[in-house]
Amino acid sequence: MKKAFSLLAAVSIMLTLMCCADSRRGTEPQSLHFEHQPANAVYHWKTVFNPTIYEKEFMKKHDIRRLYLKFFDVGVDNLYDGRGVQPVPIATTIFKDSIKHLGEVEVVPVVFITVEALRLEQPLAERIVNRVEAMCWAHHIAYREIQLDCDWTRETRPLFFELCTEVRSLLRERRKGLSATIRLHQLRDTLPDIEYGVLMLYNTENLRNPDVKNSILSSNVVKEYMRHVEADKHLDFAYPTYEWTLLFKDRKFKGILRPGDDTNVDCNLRHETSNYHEIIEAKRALRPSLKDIGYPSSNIIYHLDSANLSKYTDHEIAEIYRP
Amino acid sequence: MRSPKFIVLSLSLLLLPDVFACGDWASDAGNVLLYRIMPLDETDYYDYLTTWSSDQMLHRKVDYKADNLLLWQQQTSPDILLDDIERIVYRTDEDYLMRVREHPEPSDGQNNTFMRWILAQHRTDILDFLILAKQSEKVRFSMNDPWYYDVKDGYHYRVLEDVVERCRQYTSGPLLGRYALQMVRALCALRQYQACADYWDAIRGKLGNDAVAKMTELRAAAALYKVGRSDEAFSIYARHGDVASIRAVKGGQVGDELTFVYNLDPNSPYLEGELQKWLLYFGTYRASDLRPNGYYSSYEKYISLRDLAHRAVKEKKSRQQAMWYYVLAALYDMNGEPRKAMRYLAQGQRYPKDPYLRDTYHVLRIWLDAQTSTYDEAYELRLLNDLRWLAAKIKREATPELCRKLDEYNDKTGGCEDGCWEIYQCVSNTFYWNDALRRILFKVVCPRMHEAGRYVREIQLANMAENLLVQPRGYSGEMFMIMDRLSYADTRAYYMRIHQPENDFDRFLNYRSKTDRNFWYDVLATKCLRERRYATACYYLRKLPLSFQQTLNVYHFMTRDPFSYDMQIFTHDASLAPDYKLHFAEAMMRYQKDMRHHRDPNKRADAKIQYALGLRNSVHRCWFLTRHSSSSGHTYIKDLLPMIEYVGDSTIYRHKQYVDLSEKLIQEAIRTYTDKEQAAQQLRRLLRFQRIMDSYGETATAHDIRAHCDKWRDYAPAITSL
Repeated sequence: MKKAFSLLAAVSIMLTLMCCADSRRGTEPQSLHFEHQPANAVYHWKTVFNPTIYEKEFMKKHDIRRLYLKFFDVGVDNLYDGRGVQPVPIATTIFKDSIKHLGEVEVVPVVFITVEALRLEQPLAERIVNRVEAMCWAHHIAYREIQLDCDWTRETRPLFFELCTEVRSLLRERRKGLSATIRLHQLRDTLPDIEYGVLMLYNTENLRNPDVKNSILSSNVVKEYMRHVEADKHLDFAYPTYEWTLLFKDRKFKGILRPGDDTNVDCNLRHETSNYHEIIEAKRALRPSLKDIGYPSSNIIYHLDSANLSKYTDHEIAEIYRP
Repeated sequence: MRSPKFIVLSLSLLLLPDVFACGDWASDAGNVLLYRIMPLDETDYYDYLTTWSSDQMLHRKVDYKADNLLLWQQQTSPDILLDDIERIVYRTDEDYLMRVREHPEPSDGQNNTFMRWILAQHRTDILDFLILAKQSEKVRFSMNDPWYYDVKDGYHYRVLEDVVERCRQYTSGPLLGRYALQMVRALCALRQYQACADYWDAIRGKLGNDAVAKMTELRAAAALYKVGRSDEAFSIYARHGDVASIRAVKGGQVGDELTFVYNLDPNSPYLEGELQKWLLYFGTYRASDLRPNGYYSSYEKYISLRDLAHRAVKEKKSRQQAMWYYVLAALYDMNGEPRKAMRYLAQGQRYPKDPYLRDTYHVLRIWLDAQTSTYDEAYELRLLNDLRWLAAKIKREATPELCRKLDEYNDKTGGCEDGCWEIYQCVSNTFYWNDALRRILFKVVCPRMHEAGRYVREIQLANMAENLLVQPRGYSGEMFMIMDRLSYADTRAYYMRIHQPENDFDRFLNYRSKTDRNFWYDVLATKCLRERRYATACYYLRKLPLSFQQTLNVYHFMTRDPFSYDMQIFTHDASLAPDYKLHFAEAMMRYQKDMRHHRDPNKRADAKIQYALGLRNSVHRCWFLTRHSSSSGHTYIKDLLPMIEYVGDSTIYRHKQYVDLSEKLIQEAIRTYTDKEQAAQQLRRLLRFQRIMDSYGETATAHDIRAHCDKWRDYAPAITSL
């Protein structure tokens, strides 16, 4: 009896350990083909791919091995072809420079999906994968994974999760992987069917709120989120390096001023930056259990733009990237 | 020459001024769209009115599908059905054709004469061509998908390059034109525009003048534009009326499109549709709006259109001179210059025109004639002849569908007071010739007859205009409105002319008008009641059978006691309905007699009060005694026919006049009573308690009121005697 109990206890301990190990590794039998390597990375979130010399140098200097490059958005439009409003690719990135000029950098095609397009419940997965492949073929990009970006909420969650499952299935046939961006609020939910997620540590508050001090990043907000969240998949972390000026009139949000816009307007302006100390504070606030699930987490900068990046010292950038 | 009989025309009429001016802008005779140089598809007219589909529906679509099918038939066998060709050429897929090409089966030709012919004649060249065309089309179609991403060395390009190569190898044979079309399409899809332009230059002389050659030319025009030969490209587009392509390649910045296209090709098929659009657009303007500082900001467009029309008739480059003269005449007419318009129309008469334009010339001539002529015997004769022609045309061209639609509306709306109005909402702008007749008569001829005091002719013409196509059962059309505003004497004069026509014109109009005896008896009787001619009213009303009375749209109201003391609360008594008007008229006659001649002053007073009540009620809650509709629609007449200075509703229906007279008669009656108790009782029925207390406070009626009503309890009768 005692022997049987000991055996049962041993088996249960082993199972528990295996479960823990599995969840730490974040691996699944189906995704064995895809390996996500830790690397410094940066997002490219412009409609024209034509990096400046500074940007290319920046990538070299900071040993950036991965570029998350937004390929296109999926929006909605009525093409007046009798099918009514349809999901369509919009804001497709124009390649004015060749990817090969970046050297040995892995390009991760990113597709932003609007919730309006999701809500149409039209077939998207194959269209997205085929279009990404066509773009990669056209621009000689050997992609290993696709990343989907979507501001899904509880309401649209099932639609996005279904899309992820479908895309992942298609990518698996091609021995490719699928990742997704994860917003802080999305972390309160389970994550979709992906290899890993990129936790966006920016846009932490509602920019339309006139009472918010800095909607780009507030380490306090990150800390607050950290009290409640868990992750069931590997996460990398994306930090902001952009800034903008928001326009308010009578406490109502009017828009984002573009660089060079006239600031002598009869409105309240709120200039927001991605403060280095806030970034580091937010980085520190990350719950240990979110990091290094399965393998070391990577840090990513959002986004590749010399005007913004030049405001940080090399040391500061290195600190952001430091594991 | 127009190839389709009806060219679908759409109007962005939501933009048009009168649309904003009133909701049912198109429902009255004055607003129907008069100026026509081409037939419109009027069966779905209202759908077009409420959509924003403009050019795609307005202009003939550049579509050679039907011509292409005919060409296939010519190139193969006249025994082959066009539907069968259509099924193979447009609806079968590549796989099926490949299978037939490789392994034809006996069943393949069984259900299709085209395929049967191909197999019987062993025309594998046709199958090869169709397979190539399908492959090319499939790829080009997928390249138009918004999800397509252009990959130069990708699958799509490889297929199209193969298509180009196979087309290049076909240098002669019966399908040369078709291969040329595929070649041009494939080269354009590959964006090899220079190669396409070169190929076009080389091949164009070898092509015929068929639909496929036109399609090839149109596609090649895109390449010509891309390689900088834009003038050639525009000329091709203009020649084929493909202005959508001109707009597309110019990024929508064409400017004055009509002039642009006219300059390219004065015979472009585009011009006709575009001119028609502007005629309809400006045709709804008031002349006063077509001024430099008019309410609407289209004056510049109007002027440029007129300048172009002047230029076109002067240059004589267009083969459609008659059309341009019509346009010029219409433009001057809508600007309030009918004499000038008449001159241009007369000049255009000598140019050849198709039957439709010939007839619309005639209509415009009648319209301008009505505005510019002196209304003398010569004009009447001319008008009679014109109306004979137009009426015959209406009868001849009214389709069974239209008649059925009108009957349905009549059945549906005939029981309503405003049924007639409803019907003409249905009719207006759905059948041009009838619309034109109504506009000419209601908008010009009737008002001019009215001005001249020729009321009989006015009603005659209005009656015909309203009832030629369908006899609406309601009481709210223009004819009824015009007639309703005339006196009994004028209406009777008209009625007499129905039965005693004086000339051919009378007979012509009577034959096409509503002359139903009961209808007119009721109208005349109602006017008599309105004018207090009760004895005459009885004369007509005694002739009206109950069966007719029951068809009156107001019959169901005839349960109210017309001598009710109360102005608001009426008891209903269904037994009052039969001979309602007659009983009322007889009672009024009786009261009229008693109030004047009875020996007993109290009886005279009683009769006068009854008479006064009847008079008041006949223009108040029992309005249906003196009119046929309570609708305020009648007051629209000033909007509908503003050119006629009709008297207003209050004068026509005498509401205030009779209410005032009624009160005066009641006061007189009260003073007539010698029996104070009777006077007090009448006042009580009239709810005039103050007067009872003031003047008849000592009567039993006053005592009774004080006993039952708190308000009057403390009212001291003695005060009245102080």
